[in-house]
Amino acid sequence: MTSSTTSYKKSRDFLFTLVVIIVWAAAFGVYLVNRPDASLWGLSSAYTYSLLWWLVAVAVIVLYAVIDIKGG
Amino acid sequence: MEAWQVTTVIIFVYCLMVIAIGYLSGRVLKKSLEDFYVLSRRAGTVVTFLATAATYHSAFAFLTSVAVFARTGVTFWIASSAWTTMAAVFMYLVGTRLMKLGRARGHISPADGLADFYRSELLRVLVAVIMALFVIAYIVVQAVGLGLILDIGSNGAIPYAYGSLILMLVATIYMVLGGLRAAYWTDVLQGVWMYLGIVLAALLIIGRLAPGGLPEVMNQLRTLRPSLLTMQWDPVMMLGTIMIYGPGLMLLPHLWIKYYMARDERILKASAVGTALYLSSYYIPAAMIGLSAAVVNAVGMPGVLEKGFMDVLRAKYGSDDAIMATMITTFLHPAVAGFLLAGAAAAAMSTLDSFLGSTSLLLTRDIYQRYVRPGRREEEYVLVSRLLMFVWMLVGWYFAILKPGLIFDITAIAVAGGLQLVPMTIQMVIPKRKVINKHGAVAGFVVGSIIVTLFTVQTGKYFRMPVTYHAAVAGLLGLAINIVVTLVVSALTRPSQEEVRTFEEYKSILYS
Repeated sequence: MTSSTTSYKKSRDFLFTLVVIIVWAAAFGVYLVNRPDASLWGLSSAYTYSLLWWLVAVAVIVLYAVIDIKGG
Repeated sequence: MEAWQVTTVIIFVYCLMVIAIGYLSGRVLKKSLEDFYVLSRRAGTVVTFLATAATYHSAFAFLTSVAVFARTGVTFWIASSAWTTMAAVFMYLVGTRLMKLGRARGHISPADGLADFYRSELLRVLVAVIMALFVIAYIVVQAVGLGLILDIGSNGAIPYAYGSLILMLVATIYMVLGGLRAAYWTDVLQGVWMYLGIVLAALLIIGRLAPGGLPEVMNQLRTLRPSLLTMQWDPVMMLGTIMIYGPGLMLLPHLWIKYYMARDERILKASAVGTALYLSSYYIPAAMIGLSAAVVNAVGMPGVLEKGFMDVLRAKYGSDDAIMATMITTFLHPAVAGFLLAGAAAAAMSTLDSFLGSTSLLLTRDIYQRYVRPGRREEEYVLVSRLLMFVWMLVGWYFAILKPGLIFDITAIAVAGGLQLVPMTIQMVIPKRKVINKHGAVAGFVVGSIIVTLFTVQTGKYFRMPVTYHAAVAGLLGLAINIVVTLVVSALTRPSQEEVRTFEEYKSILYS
């Protein structure tokens, strides 16, 4: 493995870690919408927020893995 | 044949299947510790993924998640979606580095790796002994879950204590026959079975109780118990659960050794992605069942389940963990109930077996082989491992018959202990600049573990300490003090030349 490849991988890992911190901090945004009133499909605001957050979190993991594994 | 007999027979058929798998896997065992514990580092994606996912999800996922959904509503989903995905991220980033290091340096246990990196035999003994003690809590909860499954499945014909002992013996027998190889093979079956089980249970129970699906359940709760539709934990508790069930759980020995079994880095990374999807999505059907139980508990179903049935179960079993098994046996056909309760047993056994295996590994490899009888034949160590599995099984069973409380609360103690490995492990997998040495690692780990023990409700009461309200919070407090102690002691002491040399070797393994 060349030093430029190693450096690229390290900065990619660092960027992913940064995105993870930001996205997982956003999970606490649920306290801003912490109400039982109905939103999408009759689900509560808090539950809807966390479901959407979960979709984003999973998308981040899958996307990074695709880039990382295919990129070598 | 009565309904409970049908259910019980199906559970026992499942038991015979896993014992057969244990026997078959034992026949291909090579009688070496590396094969006994980490499949000679040759596992493919399916085995690595399902072994990790099935080991992560235990009686906790099948039984207590439904109980906590029923009591705290969507709170459990909000926190668990964050901690399950965090666990997978941790596996992806940290697990792959541990795998590389383990392969290059021959590690097969957490104590192996940490003692090697910090050049400290004291650290080896401390990690082996303290982790073995913390994981007793996790073994206990699987014993509790197994006892409930057979007690409720057999309609009380096999009481809780005997049910727990019988199913724990089943797991121990297949482990003794096939080692962790048996655990990995059975995990594949159990991982599929428990996932199908929870999805099927949710579809059938929701279909019976609320044909309109989750929105209908939500609307009912909005009238009956609106607080169940909101986050009820404070941010500290939420952060604590994300940390202990994310990094904390992924550093416990039974999951740590999974990083060593994968054949290569890509397999482990692909497994981490699968683990993220499996672990988090598992709680969607669990939420449906738990929230449905909350509705039934609030209004009752005359002649089927009385209003307030959850309080009756809590009085009988000492916790809410019996809710799931009761919903299954009450609302579903006995044959289906048997299949689903076997899925619940799979969830508990797939974790129990790994705990028994990894604990015996820690004590055999890191204590017995090094200090009690070094230089003996591999067969002797495998035999000692097998005996230790029985001993730890009996210890777990003893505490389980005392009915220690909600599985969710008991598991938190073990994972709060696992969280105390974070600072020294992060230094090990990111060897850029040496900021933690062996003195700091030992001091921080010991202080963090003591803080967790003193400030956790279930253990702190024996020391008359002003405990925190949950082990998740105690784990967070322990980690904060652990980090400070680790860094301060490391700054005040010097690493040995040997430790610095090893640090450079680790750097070259990971960065060259």
